[in-house]
Amino acid sequence: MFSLEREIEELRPSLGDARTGALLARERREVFSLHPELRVAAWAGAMLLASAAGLVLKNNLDRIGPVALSTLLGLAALACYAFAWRAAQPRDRATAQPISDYILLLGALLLSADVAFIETQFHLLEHHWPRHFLFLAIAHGVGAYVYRSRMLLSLSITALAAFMGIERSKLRFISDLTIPALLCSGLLIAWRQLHAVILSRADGEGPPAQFLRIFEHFAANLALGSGLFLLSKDETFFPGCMMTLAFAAIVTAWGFKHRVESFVLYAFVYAVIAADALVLRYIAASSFVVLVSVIAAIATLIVIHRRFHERRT
Amino acid sequence: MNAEHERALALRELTELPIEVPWRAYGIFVQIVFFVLTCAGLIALYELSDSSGILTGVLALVLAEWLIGARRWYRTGVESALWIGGLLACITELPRTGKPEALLIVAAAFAIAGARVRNALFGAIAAGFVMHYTEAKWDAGVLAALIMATIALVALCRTWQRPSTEWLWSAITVLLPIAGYAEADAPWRTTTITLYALFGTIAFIAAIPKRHHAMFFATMSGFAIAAIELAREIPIALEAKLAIGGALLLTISLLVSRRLRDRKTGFVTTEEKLPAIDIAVTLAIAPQTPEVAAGPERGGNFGGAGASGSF
Repeated sequence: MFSLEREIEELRPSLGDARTGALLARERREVFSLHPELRVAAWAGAMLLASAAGLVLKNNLDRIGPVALSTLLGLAALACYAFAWRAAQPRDRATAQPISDYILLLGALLLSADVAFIETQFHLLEHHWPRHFLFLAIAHGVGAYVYRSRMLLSLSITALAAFMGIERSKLRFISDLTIPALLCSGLLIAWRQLHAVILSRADGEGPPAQFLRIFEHFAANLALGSGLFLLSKDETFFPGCMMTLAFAAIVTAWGFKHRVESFVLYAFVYAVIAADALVLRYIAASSFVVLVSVIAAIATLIVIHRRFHERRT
Repeated sequence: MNAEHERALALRELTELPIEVPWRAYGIFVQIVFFVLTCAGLIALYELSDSSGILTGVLALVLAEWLIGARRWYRTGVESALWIGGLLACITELPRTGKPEALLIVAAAFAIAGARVRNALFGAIAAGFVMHYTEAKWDAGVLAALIMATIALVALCRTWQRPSTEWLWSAITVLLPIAGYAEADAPWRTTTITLYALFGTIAFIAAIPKRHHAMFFATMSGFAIAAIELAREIPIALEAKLAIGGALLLTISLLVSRRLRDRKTGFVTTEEKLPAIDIAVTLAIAPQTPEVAAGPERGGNFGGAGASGSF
């Protein structure tokens, strides 16, 4: 067992009595949180139940029938949402946390499975079947705001990206995904701005501030990825590399401005991929070039990391 | 890096105070990026040297030692990749015999690299190769995995000066039972169930008084694997088994949460990061925090207050 009791005690003048006490209690295991274990168990439980629901749909269609199955699944999803709603009330919040997050996720996954099942069985949208993703994006988006859930927001954005990717490109070539990815990124930036405006004008409990970072992560990755999609075709290879490098520069600048290192980090990774692809294709495809580029990348990342922390302190 | 500096680094991460540590160390995501980049560079160097493992290995190890000794790199990802990459490059020069003993050579490479750069994951991978060797040699992979995990569990009960030593035992305790499960055979199912249930019980008995996350996760993995194997023996539909398992996990989580409701000491269910956030807020209010310097590097490998030793 590792303990920093002695060092924490020595830092008491810097930390203050209250913080020192809290940290010492943690080191001595006088306070021990089972939060991570409960989260993992609840997540595993939710995933097992969602998998079971998928198998029930697959294996029991003939025996039970589509109407009964979709109704059952809908009711199960509703029960999960109801549980999460009850758990979100102040009286029960302490009891059900952190489990209610995963029961809510289970409800959302069951809803997604149910909507997809209904579409495959009854063909309500016919040739416009990808629009069921749009319905899910809206449903999960509403759920995210009602339950203040980041997980539901992530599901909503994923469904939106799936809708835009399939609806607009029909998935013929990977490079066809560039425009939908850019559009989706732009849409997310707009959504983020709207969220920020509502947040700034809210009196009391407004929409969750943590949502902003989720929009930013998805928007940045979609924009960066949109350039890489172009690398799959010869004629768009060069513009794809340049586009990725340009977006990487924007995301890096944004990361520096807002002091979020993760953005700087993955913008750098995307930039390295694009730069290496460019060099290997147009200059020389040799081990020596790879070695030099790796050394250059490591040196650059060290400088970026140092500058980032210099600005932060 | 001596134990004092390792502890200072752990203290800086815990308290977020500007504690000076004379080593270059990065967060986990930066480490992963550096590790992958360095591995790519080593592969390129291997190709460039006409697949000369010795040349690549020696260059990598010399560079790693220079970075550690002269530049004081620790937990950057680069020195770890150079050490393990260098040793594995050297191993490629050995004649291929197809004997299971080759696994022990790879295990030794991971153990040496892990010990040098204090990487717990390398240590756990080394233990994994030893486990795989016992499976190849004596068909006793599961047993070896659980014995090593139990030894690590016992080791976790004593006090360690270095956080990296603690992480090594934690990694072996949690990962080895899961790795060992890959070697479980159907004819030995009853034995597998018994062994994993026994391991889960031992881990749980240790976890309650010791209050260690690795012990609780080992408990969970032990019982989960025993339950998966047990479920194979029960003749009901797979979806029913999944549903029962999922419902059981959610119910247990809920009951534990309910039981620990409103508790402020002992076992609680509040998020662990809260104290750190609390500290950050305090620092933001009172920005004049004195810099606390870790002591100069001394001869010993660990031990504050003048103590010294290997671990």
